[in-house]
Amino acid sequence: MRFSLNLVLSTAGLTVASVATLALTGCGGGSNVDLNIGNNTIGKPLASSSAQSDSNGSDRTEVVVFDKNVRLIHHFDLSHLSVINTLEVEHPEASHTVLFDQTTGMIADFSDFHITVFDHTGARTVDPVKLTGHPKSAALDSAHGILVVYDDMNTVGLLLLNPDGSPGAKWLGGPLLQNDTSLTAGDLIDDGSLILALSDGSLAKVDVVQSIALQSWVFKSVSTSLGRMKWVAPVHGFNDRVLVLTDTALSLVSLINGSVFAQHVIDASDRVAFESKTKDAHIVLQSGSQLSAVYSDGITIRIKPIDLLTDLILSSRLCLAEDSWSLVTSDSAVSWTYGPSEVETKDRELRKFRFSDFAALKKMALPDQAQLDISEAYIFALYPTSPLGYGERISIQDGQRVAIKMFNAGHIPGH
Amino acid sequence: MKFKTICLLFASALPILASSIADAGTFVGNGGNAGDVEWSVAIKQIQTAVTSIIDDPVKDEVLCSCTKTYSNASICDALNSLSHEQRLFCGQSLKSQVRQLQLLVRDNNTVHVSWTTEAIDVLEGGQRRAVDAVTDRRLAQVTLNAEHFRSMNPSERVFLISHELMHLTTLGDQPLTDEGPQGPFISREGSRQLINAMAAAMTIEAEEAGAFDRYRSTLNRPQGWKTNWVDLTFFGTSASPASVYGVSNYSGGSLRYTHYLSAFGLNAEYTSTKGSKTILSSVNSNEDVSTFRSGVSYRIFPFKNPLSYFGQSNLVFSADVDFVKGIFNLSDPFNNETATSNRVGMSGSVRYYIPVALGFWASIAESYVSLPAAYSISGVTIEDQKSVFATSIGVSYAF
Repeated sequence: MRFSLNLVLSTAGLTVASVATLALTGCGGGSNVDLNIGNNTIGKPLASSSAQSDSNGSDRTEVVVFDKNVRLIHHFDLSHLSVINTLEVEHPEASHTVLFDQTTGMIADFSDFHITVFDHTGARTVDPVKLTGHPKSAALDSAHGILVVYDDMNTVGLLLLNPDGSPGAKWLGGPLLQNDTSLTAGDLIDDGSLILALSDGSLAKVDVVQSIALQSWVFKSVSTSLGRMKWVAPVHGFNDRVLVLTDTALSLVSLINGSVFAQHVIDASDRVAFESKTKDAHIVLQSGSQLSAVYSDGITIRIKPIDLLTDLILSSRLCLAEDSWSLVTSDSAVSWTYGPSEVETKDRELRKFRFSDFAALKKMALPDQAQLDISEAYIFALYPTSPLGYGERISIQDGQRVAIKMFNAGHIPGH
Repeated sequence: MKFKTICLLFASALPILASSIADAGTFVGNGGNAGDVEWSVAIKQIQTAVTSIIDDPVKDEVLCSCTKTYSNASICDALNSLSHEQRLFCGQSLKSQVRQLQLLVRDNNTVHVSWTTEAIDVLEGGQRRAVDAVTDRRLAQVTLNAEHFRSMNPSERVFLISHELMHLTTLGDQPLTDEGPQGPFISREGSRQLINAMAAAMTIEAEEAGAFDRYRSTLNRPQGWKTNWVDLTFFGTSASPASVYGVSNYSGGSLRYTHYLSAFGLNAEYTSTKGSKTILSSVNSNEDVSTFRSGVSYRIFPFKNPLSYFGQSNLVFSADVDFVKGIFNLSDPFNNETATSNRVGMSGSVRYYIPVALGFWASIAESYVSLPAAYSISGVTIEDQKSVFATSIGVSYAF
């Protein structure tokens, strides 16, 4: 599942989706809310602001946001807290999500049935691939210049990106890779391959460049002993294995032969409270007042429990190299009728731990009614209740706040 | 369109202006001099007395007798001391004089009034003597001290003017003066004694005919000749700013002082104007404009009769230089930014003053005033409409 809070907070369509999930899972009376919004996706669910970490999990110094007040895309420089560029979107009345690659300066804007790609100069290409559904997730590999978009019609858009961020060759692929199997989840791995989980329990390693060149799926598949796979995540540093989540287990699976290197069976008393691909992919299990981070070091699956009572996990960020684990939790963010609400979101906390021994490094209240992007060192808070535009960069270490103001002032309709 | 209206109004006022200039200094006065109203009212009251004497003659001795109303008034001093023969002579003389008086007070151009701010004295018998008025028979002109004349009560004015008008008549074939005996008034100042008695009789006759009651409100009405005016006005206006943040509706108040040197005056005014606007339900614009303006005014009295209500109303045309300072605040739940703007502009106005009471006036005005041109907030230029029309109502005090 996506790491960022934005999915939960920002996109109305996805909020509606989460409501449907809540209704189906019959949540009532208790405090365990299962969003499961990241299932059946390729990459991460799209949000109205770009993540503060790139596809490798490294922190960015720039972020891109679709501002709902003025219906424009703002490109922010977080170091200087300034607006680098403001872009008009196609169909501003629709809901929009964005993706950003700081390396090339590419900005992708997604709305109903449309994609617009902006290069580093702001020059736009409308619908480089023509989707018929609403884009719901995407995977970006800036090193190889690959963008994969997945819509709610289960169609996959493959797009090559030029070094200047402009779109290059592209292809639209359907969910059927083999005769009677369709894709259920997927993600890009470090070597630029697209790994797709298929409905028959197999994994397909897609050559994106060849698929685009030949305008058909080019892949090699391996069978696994796993059932239906609903979540696939890369294991950084390893191109021959992936993490896979099914209803019953989190598994480290070989892409060579489909064998399971390691597995954690999800106990009946546990529920998957969160799935994250930020930095190091992991899931968070919740059983009563105990949370458990289940992850892979590339060799095996490990689990680390901690006693932490919370109603809702809104984001999770695990960085094994930095020995840190950050959670955003909330005990009052949920409306039982409408699910998590952007406007009503409040009482959120950031908790940061030293992952090796769960020593608490930081506990920090987060601004209410703000759209948050969280990196290792900073929180970028955008306040949608400020039509004129107001955002803050908050240092996690010392809580210092620096504001950016009035960036919508010149864009209010009628000005 | 409104600016054209002002121009048309001004143009249409020019004939009235020309007429007013031509009328300055004539008998009745143009409502623009201190004392003119009191003079005109006194003349009207004398007219009433004259008409009453002519139309309803009484016995000669009754004409120069005090009534109960004035029995204790000082004005009866001139009558109570008369002998029967003198009273009879007074009545006979008055009946013959009223025909001449009728000619004198019949129109506005026969007898002229000259106003002075100096004390008036005359040389009599080698000595100077202070007097309330002096009459030049040759010029048919009565000279009065305006302040002293206005300070008198109406009956005192009728007495005084009647006395002076007598000097423009003849008794027998001789001009009627203050010196020498006249009939049974045998003293050296017998003629003055006779004139005083006739003037007293005229005053009593005016009272009996209801002339003082009839013009009481006219005398109490504020008069437009006052040179110092203080105006307190409240106004509203609307604008069409170019920016979505620009304020559309303003309201405010002003305090204005005008000093008239003649028909022209100099004015200074301070105006405070405020406006606000809400955009997207939570963005607030607030503008606070302070203006100091100074300029010239020109005043005309569009209606001829200074004794009427509208006769005292006046139109004032002004042209000013505006020194405008604006403070603009733009805010939402998280932002609060302020900018200032200064500008020098021009403004003009047309004001109409209507007398109320006790020196107070009501006014209505249409002005074309300057606003701050533009503000810059966070790199965003917020442009105002540079000048707007404003309609105001107010209260003024003239002194």
